[in-house]
Amino acid sequence: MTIEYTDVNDTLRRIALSGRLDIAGTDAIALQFSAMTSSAQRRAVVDLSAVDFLASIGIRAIVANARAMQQRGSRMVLFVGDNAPVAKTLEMTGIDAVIPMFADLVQAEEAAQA
Amino acid sequence: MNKRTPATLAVQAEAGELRRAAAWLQAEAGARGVPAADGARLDMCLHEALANIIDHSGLAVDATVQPAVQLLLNVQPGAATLTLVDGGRPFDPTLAAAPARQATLAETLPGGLGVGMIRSHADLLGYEYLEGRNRLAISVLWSTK
Repeated sequence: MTIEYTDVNDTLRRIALSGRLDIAGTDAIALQFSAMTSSAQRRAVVDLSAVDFLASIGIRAIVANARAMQQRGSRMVLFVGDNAPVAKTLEMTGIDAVIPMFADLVQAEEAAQA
Repeated sequence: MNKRTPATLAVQAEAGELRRAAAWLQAEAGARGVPAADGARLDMCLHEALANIIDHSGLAVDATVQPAVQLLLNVQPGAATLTLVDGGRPFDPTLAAAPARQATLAETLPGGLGVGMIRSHADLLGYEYLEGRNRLAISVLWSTK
């Protein structure tokens, strides 16, 4: 499990997760994920396109950080690209209804900064 | 190896066992010809079911029950069934209530998703509590045409 970020500009950060977001994988990135989403200035696009396994604990981490961002007046959106299994999991759990999810990166970045 | 012979694995009720169980499932399902997408559905169900056992069965703090969890994989043409047998507290995930969907992020509590994920990834679920052990059978089906 890896996590990396790129600051797209002064107001937007892209955070890319890859690998298996199971209990061990989520534990491995939890602190970094929280730190990367804690910027008061930057909204976040969380890139899940390279996540090959998204368990409920991984979803919990995403929701917890998205809620924390919202409470700070910021925003998280999700980018899934063509990762159909991850998109399906987010849809069947209803997470896509509360955290915007996009297959297109440009649309995701626009929505994060809207 | 006879592809009809069930594969078995005993694991402890510890988070550190999840990846060993997942590797076992991937190897045994692959060797028995389970399509990759259907094996991935079983993989998700295995993770969520084992995580529930670790978190809620009481086995994580009671090492006297051995083996804590027994896994069995049975593959037939067009179907694979993963059975988890554990000696923890009785729990029927086929009846447990899934969390209600919330309309806003602020209302969304990050928990209770596992049971719903098992139900949505499996094609068939069966549960019985017999002789002090939970038996959860998770099946995925695929076309053989």
